[in-house]
Amino acid sequence: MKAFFYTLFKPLLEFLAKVWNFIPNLLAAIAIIAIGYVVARVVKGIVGRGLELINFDTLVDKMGVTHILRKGDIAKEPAKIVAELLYGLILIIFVMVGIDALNLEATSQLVNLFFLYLPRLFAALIILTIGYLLADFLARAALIASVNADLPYSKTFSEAVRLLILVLVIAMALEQLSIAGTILLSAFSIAFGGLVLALALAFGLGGKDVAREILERRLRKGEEKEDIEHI
Amino acid sequence: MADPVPLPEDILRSIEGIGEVDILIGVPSYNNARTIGHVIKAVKAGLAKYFPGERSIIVNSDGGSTDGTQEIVAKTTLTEFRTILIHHPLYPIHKITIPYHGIPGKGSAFRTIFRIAEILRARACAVVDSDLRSITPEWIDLLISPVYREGYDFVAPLYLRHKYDGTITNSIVYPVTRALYGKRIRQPIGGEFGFSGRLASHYLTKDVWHTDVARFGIDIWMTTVAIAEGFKVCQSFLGAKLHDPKDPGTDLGDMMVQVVGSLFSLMETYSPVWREVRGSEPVPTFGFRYSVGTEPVAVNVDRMIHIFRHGLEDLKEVWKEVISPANMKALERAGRRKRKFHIPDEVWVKVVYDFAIAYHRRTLSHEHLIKSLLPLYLGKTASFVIETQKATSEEVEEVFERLSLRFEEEKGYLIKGWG
Repeated sequence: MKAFFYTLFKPLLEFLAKVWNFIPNLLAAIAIIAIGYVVARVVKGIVGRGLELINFDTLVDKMGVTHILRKGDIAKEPAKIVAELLYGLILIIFVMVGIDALNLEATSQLVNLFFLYLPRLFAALIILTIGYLLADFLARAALIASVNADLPYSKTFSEAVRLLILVLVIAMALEQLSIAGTILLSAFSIAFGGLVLALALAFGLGGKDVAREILERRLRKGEEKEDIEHI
Repeated sequence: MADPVPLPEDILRSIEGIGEVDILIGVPSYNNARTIGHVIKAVKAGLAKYFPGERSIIVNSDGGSTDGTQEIVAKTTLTEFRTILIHHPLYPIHKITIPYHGIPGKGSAFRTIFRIAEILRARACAVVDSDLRSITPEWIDLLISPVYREGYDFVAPLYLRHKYDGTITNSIVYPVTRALYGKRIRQPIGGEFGFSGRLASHYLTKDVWHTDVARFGIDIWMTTVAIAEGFKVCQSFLGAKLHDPKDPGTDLGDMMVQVVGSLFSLMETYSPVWREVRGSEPVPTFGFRYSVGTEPVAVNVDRMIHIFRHGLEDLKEVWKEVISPANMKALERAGRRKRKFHIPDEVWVKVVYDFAIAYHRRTLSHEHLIKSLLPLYLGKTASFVIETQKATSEEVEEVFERLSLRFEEEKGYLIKGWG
């Protein structure tokens, strides 16, 4: 009978013992996450105030970043966005550390993977941000240069420049995230090659009139010499 | 404080050997073999004729010419002038050819000239371009005498030019400089200048030699520093200015970035000065004014209007970030006009001020901002050419006077927008 009860309750006792042993880990995890929440809130507040004090919004506005955010339907001030991003990041890191404190094999692997992946995520975000700014800058430069040279289809040319850079940037960011590397490479090669081929066809066949117009205008400019000295 | 100007050892030794000079004439050059011989002869004749008792030096600051420019400077003598000169110089006129360092451009060449003027303690200096065809010995007198004999610090040139030449000067640089600093220096970016040794040393204290000042921006920078920092300024009438054709590869947009960019950048530096200035006053003018016939120039008005309209269509989004809504509407009205194309002065003035304010606020990258002004400038130039087709040079000058007055009247708009 004793043996029967022993067999019956042993797993239950073992489970209760495991739960008992797990409680400190769980409490530690909850405490870590709670501390993380407080730290994240405090950092958010300090960074937000600090950025306000140094007129971060005005500085960023002068660099044209606010304009880009407005174009992406983001109405929040840049200082608030930075503070909230930092808040989110700190909270995620503490949650991960908290999960790790549970000392469970499965979660430990997940946490390790997360921390290994974090630098790649950062790199991808930086590539996307810089790439977006660069695409905007170069597209505008192409537009102004094209208008000043009086070339037709300036806007189309400018948008093509933007598109090419964005395709390249997105491909670079996805590669950084190691998302479907082989498929990505093939898709990028096909898309980029296709784009170049489309442009070649457009200029070769559809754009022959435009090409003729540009050449004629160039030649006319040579004939209609302008002597005016602007300076 | 600016970095010291690098000078080669051998040049330093030969300068020290000269000791001190009274007058220094600087001639910046880059592949000007065709004209520099004439320029050096005119300078030597001018020194011999008007300053025979003064110790003088000619400094050729060269940007690495490969067409024999430096050899021509070394060989040029004055033998053929001896017969017509009443005076002969008491001292030999020294000549130095020196390669300049830094960003390739006129400003870097000038910096080397300023440094040599400082080492030699020159009392009066002048700089003349090496591509001039119309320079005469009198130019040296007109650029040096106001400094050497009358105590001025800065002499700007005053030329006779074709009514359609110098349109950036006439429609932007002159009226804005006049409205900002209150001095009517008609050609603030003339190219030739006279200045005191004191002012040359002052220029060297400025840390600007890695900016557009080192290139085309040097002229407006020299003029503005002289006016805004209270130096005694005047101008000298030099007659017609003819020079070798400019390199056709020189891009108008790049020229605008350097000249207008320097003008706007100087507005930042001197905002406490110009905010207090109201109206303007003439500056003393030396030299005998006369009129000469100028060769007709070809202007392609249709192309200018086409680029302006192209800008209205495709650059609207960029301009909207810079130009006020009321001015934008006025420009659109001008663009729609089928008959006589015209951009009114009051619209142009406010558009230029809008761009200056946008430069100050960094609404766009500075280069994009000023390059996007080009179609508007061409539109205004076309409007001016249409308006003055039958006008004489005197009547055209009145048009610029009206435009300049408008810039002065609207200065409050600039101050308000500047913040």
